Amino acid sequence: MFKINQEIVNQIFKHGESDAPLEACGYLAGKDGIVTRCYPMDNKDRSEEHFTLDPEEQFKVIREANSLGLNILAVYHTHPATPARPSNEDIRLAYDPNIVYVIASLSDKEIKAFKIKKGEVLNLKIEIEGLKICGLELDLAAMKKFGMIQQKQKGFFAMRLHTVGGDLTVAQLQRIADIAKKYGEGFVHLSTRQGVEIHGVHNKYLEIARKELAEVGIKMGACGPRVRIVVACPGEATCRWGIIDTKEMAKELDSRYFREDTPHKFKLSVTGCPHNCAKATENDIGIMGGMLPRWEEDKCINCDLCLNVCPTEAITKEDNQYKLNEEKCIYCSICTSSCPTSAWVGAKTGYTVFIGGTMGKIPRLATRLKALAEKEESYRLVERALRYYQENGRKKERFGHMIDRIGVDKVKEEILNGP
Amino acid sequence: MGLDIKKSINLHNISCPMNFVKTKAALAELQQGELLEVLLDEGEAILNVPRSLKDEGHQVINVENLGETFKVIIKKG
Ligand code: SF4
Ligand code: SF4
Ligand code: SF4
Repeated sequence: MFKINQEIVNQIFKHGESDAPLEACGYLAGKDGIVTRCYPMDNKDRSEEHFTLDPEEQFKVIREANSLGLNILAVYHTHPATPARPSNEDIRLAYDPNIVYVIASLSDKEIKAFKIKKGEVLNLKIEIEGLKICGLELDLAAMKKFGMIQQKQKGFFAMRLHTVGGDLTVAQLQRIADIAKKYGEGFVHLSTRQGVEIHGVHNKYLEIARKELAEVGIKMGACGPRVRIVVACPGEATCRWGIIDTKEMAKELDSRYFREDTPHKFKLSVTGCPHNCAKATENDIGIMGGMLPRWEEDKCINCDLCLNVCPTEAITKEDNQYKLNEEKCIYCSICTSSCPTSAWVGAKTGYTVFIGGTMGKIPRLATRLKALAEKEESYRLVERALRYYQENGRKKERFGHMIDRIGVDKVKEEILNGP
Repeated sequence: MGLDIKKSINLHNISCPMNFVKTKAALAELQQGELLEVLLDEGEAILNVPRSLKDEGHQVINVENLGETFKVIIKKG
């Protein structure tokens, strides 16, 4: 049995590809039989069929590994165009019966380990393990699930943190600053979706950084084809236009769906009113607070302010009667909050559910699934919409593009009234 | 409209929140129940100033659309 880390395997292939068509070679060092470090070295032969390590470099690498308390566990080399098994040349040149020979075939994308004793080849079972993050053995794709995103700088990661509606306590912000200083590069990056990322964290610090963040209640975020962090505007809590409690709903949606696997990335947003500050119509599912107004004749003083502030000309006037055109109304509550005598009153408030919005490569604004739903009804629709996408969406197809492929009316009907 | 306008100010091109501040200053010179005429821009101004006046207890009693501006009559509360 020979254990090797996915990260190391990636490094070997990367080295191989950069030296191809020549064979690439180097040492693998580690402890207790587990490889933790890859030392790419020079192939003195500059050959496509065999390799020789440079003795001077060998000496340097061995010294460096020993200084870190590591031993040389294996010699690796690549076969750019042939399978991953020792060639006659390899067998003839094998000098150490105790060392493991790791061969990576670039053509077959395969890696194997051998021992070679007096011309006899012994095949070792190779086990590739992921990095140990979040208490799990993870590979790079799985790490993305926990918001650890490999940067183009080898071995360094961006840590994407979990937030809900962009809220963080002072203690959390202080801890984030602390971690960015200690393990990152002394700055944080704010994403376009209220997320915080700590960049430039070496993989050896990921786990400790994660634990220190968890102490103040900060979880890791998410990346890849799954439900991402939930965005929200401040809503009713502080905004004078706020019609719904966006924070409460964002928290609920987060607790129900965060990090759930989906065909492609999936974004949720909750916005307090049709001013749409949290861009509900640019998310896969967006919830928007809204209010349907009603005119009360006895209170009206015929000032015409409502006529002039309604953004959609949904209000018309005839013989001192003010009428609402519901088709045009966007439920923004501008008339109700502006009317000097409160002659426009809220007849109904609710949660308008939008589906299929996306920016990105192929932008698409959302489709309105249901206007002014009750709160529980809106949760039910979110649930049904998400399940519908999980069942019908193709890989790499955003929800909105799936809707267009199947047909807007059909999808709406099936989500609203289907089984 | 045959209203008894006590004071008139032109706030065209005066942005938020200065337009509201100037409106309040003008209202301060009036007695309760007297009328102020204000010229406000479309957009933010017509949306914000009347709503803020409502919060402070004054009352918009008429709005006339003049194109890019509005003539707003306010009764001091
Ligand atoms: S969307 Fe509405 S409630 Fe939310 S911040 Fe904007 S104006 Fe306020
Ligand atoms: S703003 Fe209010 S009082 Fe003025 S016309 Fe409209 S409903 Fe009547
Ligand atoms: S809620 Fe908004 S869109 Fe509807 S009538 Fe009132 S101001 Fe117009």
